[in-house]
Amino acid sequence: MIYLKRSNTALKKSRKVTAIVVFFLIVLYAVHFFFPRFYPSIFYPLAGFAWTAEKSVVGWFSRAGNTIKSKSNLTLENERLTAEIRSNEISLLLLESLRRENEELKAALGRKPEGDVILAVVLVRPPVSPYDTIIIDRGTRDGLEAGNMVYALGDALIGEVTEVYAGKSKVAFFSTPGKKTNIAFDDSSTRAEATGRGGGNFSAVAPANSGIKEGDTVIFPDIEPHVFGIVGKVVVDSADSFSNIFFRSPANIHDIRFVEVRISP
Amino acid sequence: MRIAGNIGIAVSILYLPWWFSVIFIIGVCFSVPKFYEAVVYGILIDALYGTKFGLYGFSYVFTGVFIIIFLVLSVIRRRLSW
Repeated sequence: MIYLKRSNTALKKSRKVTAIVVFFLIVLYAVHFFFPRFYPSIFYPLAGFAWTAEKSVVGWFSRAGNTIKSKSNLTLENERLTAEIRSNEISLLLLESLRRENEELKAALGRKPEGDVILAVVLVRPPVSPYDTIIIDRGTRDGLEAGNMVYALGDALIGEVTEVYAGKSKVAFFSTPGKKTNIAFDDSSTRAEATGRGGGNFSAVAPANSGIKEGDTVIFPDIEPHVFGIVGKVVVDSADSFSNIFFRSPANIHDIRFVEVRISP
Repeated sequence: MRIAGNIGIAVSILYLPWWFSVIFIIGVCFSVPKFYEAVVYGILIDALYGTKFGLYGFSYVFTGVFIIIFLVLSVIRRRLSW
């Protein structure tokens, strides 16, 4: 016997729902593609509150953890830190005098860095952020603009502001995978192009005879040079006239709590 | 299960390492039928944390990855029975 196949209404309905959902997803994606600031401007105020709350909760647990540390551990740590401070103070004396002399020379030549520096709290950092970015608690209200340079540990240049909202900004690290930045090696004055490798790591190619060695300082060439990285490894191929240099930022981007932003005057 | 998964993923995107969110989304895609929200979370991660430069010049890494995860797991889920 031959039976006529009944129309499968459940399947038809399911396909209709799928088509509607796919259309909705395409619309969501198109909004992000054509208006990349739209979603962050909605979600940052909402998420910002959550991030601040999270920081206070985590901070409370961290402080509670510190109070139950053993006394002997604290004494040892105190002694070690005191010795370290003394050693650093001596280095700082020399550094301060050199910095003053440098500023005086630049002022005499009519060259000085422009803009003020403001402190910002890091709300989100890697590994929560999968891209090499952080979100800070300063925005247009504080005078930030896209392209402002961002520093950590006082003088280590780590990235630049890419997107600015009312009270939040997104900062992209120079170590973003594939990102290229012009740098110079302090000891040999060799210039090169650094390529970001993620997580505060970089690689660069320089002539094999440039004399770059492990521990050399990498700087960002500017009127006021800033520390960009410390050379970790130099790989020289005897058959090649260039060496591969691997270096990393002095600031641990997974551990940054505050950054400084140089805003335009 | 769907609602719990959505809450968990939203929290993990805001507070937990990115790889935790990816694992969580894979898990939820496996257990919830037609978990289209995975793509929405991809767009959300790209919007919240991504930049124009993205990774190696591609800005929509997570949208792309979650679309692939969703499609692959939908096929696997259909072919498995439990």
